[in-house]
Amino acid sequence: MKKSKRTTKAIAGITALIFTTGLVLWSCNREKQLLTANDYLAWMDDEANGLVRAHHVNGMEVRVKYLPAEYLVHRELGVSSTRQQRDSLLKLYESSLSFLMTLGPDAAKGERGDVMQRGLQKYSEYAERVHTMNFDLEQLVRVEGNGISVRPVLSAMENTYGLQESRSIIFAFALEPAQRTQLLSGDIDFIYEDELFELGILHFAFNQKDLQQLPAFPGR
Amino acid sequence: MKTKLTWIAIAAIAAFSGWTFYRTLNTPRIAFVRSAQLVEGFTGMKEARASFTKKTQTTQANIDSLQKSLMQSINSYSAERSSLSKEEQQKREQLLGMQQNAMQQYVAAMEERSGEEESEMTQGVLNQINSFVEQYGREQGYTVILGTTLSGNVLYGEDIVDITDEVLTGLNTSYKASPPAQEK
Repeated sequence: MKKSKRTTKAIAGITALIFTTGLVLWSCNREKQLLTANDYLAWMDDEANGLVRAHHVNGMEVRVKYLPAEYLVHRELGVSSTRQQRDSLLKLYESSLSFLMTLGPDAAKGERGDVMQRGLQKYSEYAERVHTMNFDLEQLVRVEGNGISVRPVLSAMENTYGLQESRSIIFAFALEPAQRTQLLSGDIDFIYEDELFELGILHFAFNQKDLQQLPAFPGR
Repeated sequence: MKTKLTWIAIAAIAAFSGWTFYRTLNTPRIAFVRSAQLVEGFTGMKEARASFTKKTQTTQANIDSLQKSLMQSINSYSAERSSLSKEEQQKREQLLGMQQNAMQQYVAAMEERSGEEESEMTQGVLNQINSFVEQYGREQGYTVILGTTLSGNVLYGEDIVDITDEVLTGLNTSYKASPPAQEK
């Protein structure tokens, strides 16, 4: 009788443990099921998810955001696209890596002013900065990880028409499949060697886990 | 009577502790760092120097190649000089002079540019250090963090207020592992 009671207790304990584990796993999984594209964008911008890194130097803030392939597909096609179109574009984006770098005044320190004119004294300096930011930033940026170092094949600065104080530049790195696998099998270091704002060399470290455990894009 | 004395003693101790606590809170926390050691030990400085040296080497290779080309032209002219007419000699010498001037101008421009780049590189590193020290000081509750320089604005400081090592460790850690972005 005593033995039977003990067995029942053990079964109840194991059941409770399995239930709790299941609940924990379910809730963890649930966090990654985002309902809308806007949820996904908010998730990307949440610093805790590891896709955004920043440095604050000399009154400036430099933010780097990893752009997942699925986000880029959404940005290009929007919601009104066929699955075939999305898959085709996704395949294309999955063969590269994309990052968005934003250079702006450090608002937390009360810094203001258009970064394009920051610290400049002559028009020639302004012209040089505009030229560098539009055409030469690829020379100042690279991604390193697992013994691989690559420079972007493309950079494009968003035109803000003077409506914003910061500037965002998107960088695309083209990678061979094997190279991509090797690079993504470890942590990634996005390096920006600043020559424009006296910020020195800035490292933005992204964890492999954060880049690989992305939630599924809503609607896919 | 005894109880009264005990209460007075407790009140006196409490008042003294409160006063000490208040003083501690209001005592400025001052520390210093050995600036030169901080700059030299900073990984960002080492990397910036390596990057600068790499760029300088490319420029130097260009200068070497131009010098080599000029020397070849001079040697070639020396070998052929006796067989050339006076007019041809003048023409070749004029060309050599132009080549030499162009090279000197290039070297001067590169030296100037290199100097500017070195100064920008150093300023970038110093800005990184200054921004970090400012943040570190705020987070650790320092009122003032002084820096020793060659001009000697800190002449003496006890080891207990020398925070060079801990600042350097924090600086190098923050340099490689970029902190998450602050929420906007």
